[in-house]
Amino acid sequence: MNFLTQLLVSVYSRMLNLYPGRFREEFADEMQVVFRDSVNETARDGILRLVILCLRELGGLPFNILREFWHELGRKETVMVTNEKVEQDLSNSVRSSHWEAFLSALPFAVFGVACIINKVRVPWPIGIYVFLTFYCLVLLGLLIGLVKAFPRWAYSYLGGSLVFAWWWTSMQTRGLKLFGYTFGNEAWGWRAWAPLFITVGVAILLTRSIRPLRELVFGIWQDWTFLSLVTYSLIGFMMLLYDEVRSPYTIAFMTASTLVVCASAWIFMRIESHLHRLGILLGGFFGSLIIDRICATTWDLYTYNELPAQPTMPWYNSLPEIIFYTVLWSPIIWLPALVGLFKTTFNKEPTS
Amino acid sequence: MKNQSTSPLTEATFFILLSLSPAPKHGYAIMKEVREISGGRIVFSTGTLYGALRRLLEQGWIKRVSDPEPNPTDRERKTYTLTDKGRKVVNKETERLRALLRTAEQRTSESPL
Repeated sequence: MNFLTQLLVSVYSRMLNLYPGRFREEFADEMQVVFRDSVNETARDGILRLVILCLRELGGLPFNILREFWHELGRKETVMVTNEKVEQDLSNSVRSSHWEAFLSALPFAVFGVACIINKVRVPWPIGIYVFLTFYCLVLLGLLIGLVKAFPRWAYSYLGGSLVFAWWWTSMQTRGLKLFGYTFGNEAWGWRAWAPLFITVGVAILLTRSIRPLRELVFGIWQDWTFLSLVTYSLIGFMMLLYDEVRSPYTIAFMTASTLVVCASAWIFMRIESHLHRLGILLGGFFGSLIIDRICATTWDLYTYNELPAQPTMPWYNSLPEIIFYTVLWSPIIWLPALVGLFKTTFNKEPTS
Repeated sequence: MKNQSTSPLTEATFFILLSLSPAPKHGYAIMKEVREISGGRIVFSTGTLYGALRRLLEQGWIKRVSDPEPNPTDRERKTYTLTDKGRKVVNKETERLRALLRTAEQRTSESPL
C-alpha cells in the first residue's frame, strides 16, 4: 500500500504542473501534502475508497485547471488594486507571468503561421479562411480581455484586430462564400471593421457598462509601453507577411521572422524596465528586418518578374537600408512610451 | 473593481468559513471539517478546496498564519484563519439564514393542516 500511496502522490504532483504558474507556486506544495494525507487516511478504509478519492480528484481536475487559467486571464485587476508599487514606480512595470507572456506572443505566432500557410499556395479560399481564423482569434482574445478588465496580454489582441481590420479593408472579397452568403468581387471596406465593433459591443453588453473601454484606456495611462506593443502589431504584420516574395527559402525565413517577433513580444512581457521593453521591441523589428533583407538576396526579383537583370548585391549592402528603416520606425514604437514618460514626469510630486 | 456582494454565500464557501470560525486550520483539516459539518454532502477535491481558499485569500476573508502546532516533517503545511472581515461575513450570513429560517417557521406554522 505504501508503494501505491507514493505512486499516487507522485502522479498527482505531476498533474499539478498543469495549473497556472502563479497558482502552482503558491499552492502546489500544500496541495500535495493534503492529497498525501487524504490518500494515507483513505487507504485504511480499503482500495474502493481510494479509487473513489482518485476519481474525485481526477474528475474535478479539468474544471479546476480551467477555472484557475480563467482567473489568471483577469489577474491584472487584482494586481493593480493590491500592488501599490504599480502606482509608485514610474520607470518600471509589473513583470508578467509566463502564461501572460505566452498569451501576448500568441497572436504574432498565429499570424506568422497563417502567412506561412498562405505562402505554400493552398487552394483558394483556404488562405482567406486561415486569415479569418486569425481575425476570430484576436477578436476572441479582445473580447475576453475586455470582459476581464483588460489585462496586459490583451493589448496584443487589440493591436492584432486593429491591424487586421485596417489591412482587410482594402482586400477583395473575390466571391467568397461565408455562412451561406456569397460576396461579390469588391473590397471588404467597412465590413472588415464590423466584427471588431460587434466584439466591443458584446463586451459592453456582457459587462453592462463601459468599464471595459475605461480599463483599456486606464491600462495605457498606467503604462504607456503597452501602446507601443499595440503599435508593434503593425510591425509584426509588415515583417511576417512576406508579400510578393518568391525565394526558395521563404518558409524558412518566415519561420525565423515569426520566432523573432514572437520572442520579442514574449520578452517584452517578461521584463520590468520600460526602457528595456522598448529596446526589445526595436530589437524585434531590427532582427526581422535583417532576416527580410537576407531573404531578399536569395532570389532575383527582377528575373522572377521578367524585368531587365540587375547586378547581384550581397545582403550587407542592405545595412544602410536596415538602419534607415529602424531609425524611421523607432519614433513610432517609442512615441507612446515617451508620452507616458512625460506624463509621469509632470505628475511626479516634489519629494521635499 | 467589481462590487462583490457577500451575501448569500455559496454553501461551500460558507462551510469553509464556518470550519475556520472556532480556530485556525490547515487545508486537510478544513477538508475533513467541511465534510463533517455538512453531513457528508460537501466533499472537496484538493483542487476545488485550494481554488476556494485562493479566492477567499484574495477577498481578504481568510489569511495565512503560522501553525500553532508546527510539525517538523510538514514544512509545507500552511494554516488558515478568518480575518475580521471574514468573521463579519460569516456572522452576516448566519444572521441572514436565521432570519430566513424564522420566516419559514412562521409561515409553515400558519399554514392550515
